Amino acid sequence: MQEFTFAPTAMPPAAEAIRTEVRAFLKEARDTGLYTPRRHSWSSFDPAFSAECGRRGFIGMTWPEEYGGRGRSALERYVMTEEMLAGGAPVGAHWVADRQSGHQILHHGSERAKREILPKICAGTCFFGIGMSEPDSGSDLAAARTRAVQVDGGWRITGRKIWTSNAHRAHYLIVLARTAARSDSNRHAGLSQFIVPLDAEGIEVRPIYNLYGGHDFNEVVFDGVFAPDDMMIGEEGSGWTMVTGELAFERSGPDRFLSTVQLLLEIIDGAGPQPDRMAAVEIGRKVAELATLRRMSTSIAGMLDRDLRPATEAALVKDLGTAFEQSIPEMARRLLALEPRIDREDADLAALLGHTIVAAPAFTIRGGTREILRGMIARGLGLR
Amino acid sequence: MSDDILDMMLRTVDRLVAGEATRDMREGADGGALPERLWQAMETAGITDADTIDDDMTGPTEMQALVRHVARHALPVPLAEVMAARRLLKAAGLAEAAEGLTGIGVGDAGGMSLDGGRLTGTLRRVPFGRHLSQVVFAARDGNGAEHIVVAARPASVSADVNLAGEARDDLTFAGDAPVASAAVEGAADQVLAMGAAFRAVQIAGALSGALVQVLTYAGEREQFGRPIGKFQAVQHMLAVLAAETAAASAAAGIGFAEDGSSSALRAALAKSRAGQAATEGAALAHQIMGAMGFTREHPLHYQTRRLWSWRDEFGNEAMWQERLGREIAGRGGDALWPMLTSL
Ligand SMILES: Cc1cc2nc3c(=O)[nH]c(=O)nc-3n(C[C@H](O)[C@H](O)[C@H](O)COP(=O)(O)OP(=O)(O)OC[C@H]3O[C@@H](n4cnc5c(N)ncnc54)[C@H](O)[C@@H]3O)c2cc1C
Repeated sequence: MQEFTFAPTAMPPAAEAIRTEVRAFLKEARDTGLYTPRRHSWSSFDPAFSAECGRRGFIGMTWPEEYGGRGRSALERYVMTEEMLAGGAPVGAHWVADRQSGHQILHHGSERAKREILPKICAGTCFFGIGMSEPDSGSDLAAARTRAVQVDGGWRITGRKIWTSNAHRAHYLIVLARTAARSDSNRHAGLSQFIVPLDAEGIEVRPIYNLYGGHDFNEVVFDGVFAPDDMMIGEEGSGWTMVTGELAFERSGPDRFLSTVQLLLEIIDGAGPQPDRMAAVEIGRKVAELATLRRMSTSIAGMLDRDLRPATEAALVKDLGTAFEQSIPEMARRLLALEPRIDREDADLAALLGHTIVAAPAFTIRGGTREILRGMIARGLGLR
Repeated sequence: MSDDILDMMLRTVDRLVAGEATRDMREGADGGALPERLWQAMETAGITDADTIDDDMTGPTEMQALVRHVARHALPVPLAEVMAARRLLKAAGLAEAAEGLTGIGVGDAGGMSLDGGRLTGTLRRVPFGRHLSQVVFAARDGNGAEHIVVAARPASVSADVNLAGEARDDLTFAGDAPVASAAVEGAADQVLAMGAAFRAVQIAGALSGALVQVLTYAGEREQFGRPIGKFQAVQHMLAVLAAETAAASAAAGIGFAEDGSSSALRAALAKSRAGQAATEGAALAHQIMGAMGFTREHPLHYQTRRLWSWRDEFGNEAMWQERLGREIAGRGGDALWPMLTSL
């Protein structure tokens, strides 16, 4: 393959109807004080907001009704998510479950896992974390050392996960563990995934504070934690395939270019209705980038909807998208004479800028680093 | 147009490239000449008016695909200009030219005036200007109303070329009568936007042509005992080049509405992003190709010199970004997202 094509996706009328519905909901939620847009971003963890999304049917939208879903199309779900993100809604609590964990359970989980867990996810009362990374395996996930040993009726998991976002407030983790030794011929063999409740015996969650003192991610230690057979997802040894499939969902969505859109909106308002030439040029440049990213991302949504697997395209959008969102705080610094601050929680521009500056380094790391993504694109170009 | 017909046309272009796009042809065209044989072959094959076969059969998607493909091969022909002129005439309800080439032009800051049925003013750097029989542009009458005008090429032509050696000629009208005209609100914007939207498509095409050449080179050129494409630093440059190419292509798609019309907003989005990709992409392509890409001998420059020219024609990125930025700021932040989702 020499080129990646991003055919346009026309949103079906049902998706546009959802757009109207979500916009109305967000307006109401702002008016009633359920959230404050320009302070939150999609990664804000807010169980009350998630429960309200659950009540409105905005979680697990594409899943079958028997598991609490709404049987909607992937494009309807796409429009719901982009509206939530663009509206600055604090969807962080249910995000992982809605975006990837629930999807995995629906397609590869046992009937019991589906029945017990999916309806709670849809209700917005059950949250997930991702247990992939380990101290010695970040980019090289296949090097994972956490192991699961077969015992009567299930598996015992021992090892250590790190950078696990929300492990201290989620209900479950999907844990990637080694169920067979890694073979020299196949580095990706012998990995399996398990659903593990975070209150299980033998789990310890230790906070890791990030560079601005926030507590979002953690170290999670597993000391012989029991996972029954029916909490394994997929077949034994299918972990790698599932993890990489999951990452296509994690990488292509609007959460990979809208993380700092609230700041962009503030910059636009800060420039005033008659901006000087420099401000106008910068705003125009970013808006054209954003419009292009959205077109590429909706194109991928269309491919996923047609059951294609655009993993390389997703990597490409994440690379462009995270560079875009990372450039927004610098744009603010060029245009607004403003000292960023981080000591307050309020919604003013200085605080929003401060928070965005210190959050931005993570954008090109989480979900796969820029360098790993470029390696994937190079592979897609036939170079490796 | 069905996929099959489009496919056939694209393959016809490839065939013409194989037969006609010789080094001699390219060098001969580099300086402002029109490669007559190639153009005639394209006319005979129905490529130059593929957008007029039948409205149901020829959507804007196909029109873009053809223009993009021709740009991918960096063919020195006015396909985009001819199609743009036709779109503008059609939208204005004017008849198409009878004979010869019809292109488009943009007036200078003062604008072209159409007073008492007489045209005065200069169209600057009209693409392929000296080769045109007629040119479509916007003019303002004494009351300030805007018109889409089609006029025969005036006698006064001042010849020049762009960085790629394509003719970019000043055409000066001194009281000539137009062939036809129609009052059209925002005519000047329409011409500019149509030209810019087509340039964005061409940029996407030239970038993909450059990408293919560079990829081939990276697989063949060896240093330190292996193809340079095996070095991670080179792979990453290629990944970025591919990403910019894809972005240009997606941006160009925004340039046209479903009915094949453009608008200042669409053109601004498309040309801003595509122009940015042209800059970044051309730089990367040359870096990856080392000194070889800097030679006259290697064909990469047919694409990159066009990229450098096209990004500045019909408004460069800064010009469109400024317009876009003013528009967005004028409406305020909250209007941004609804605007994007309504495209
Ligand atoms: C905010 C945040 C939240 C996170 N949340 C989670 C979570 O919930 N669950 C989870 O499992 N993980 C999570 N992660 C972890 C994340 O997935 C990893 O940080 C990421 O995959 C990179 O791994 P690493 O940090 O070990 O860096 P390393 O892999 O050690 O990389 C360090 C540097 O080396 C480069 N590098 C590594 N290998 C290569 C290579 N082959 N070629 C070129 N360059 C290379 C990288 O690009 C990077 O620049 C989170 C990370 C962040 C920052």
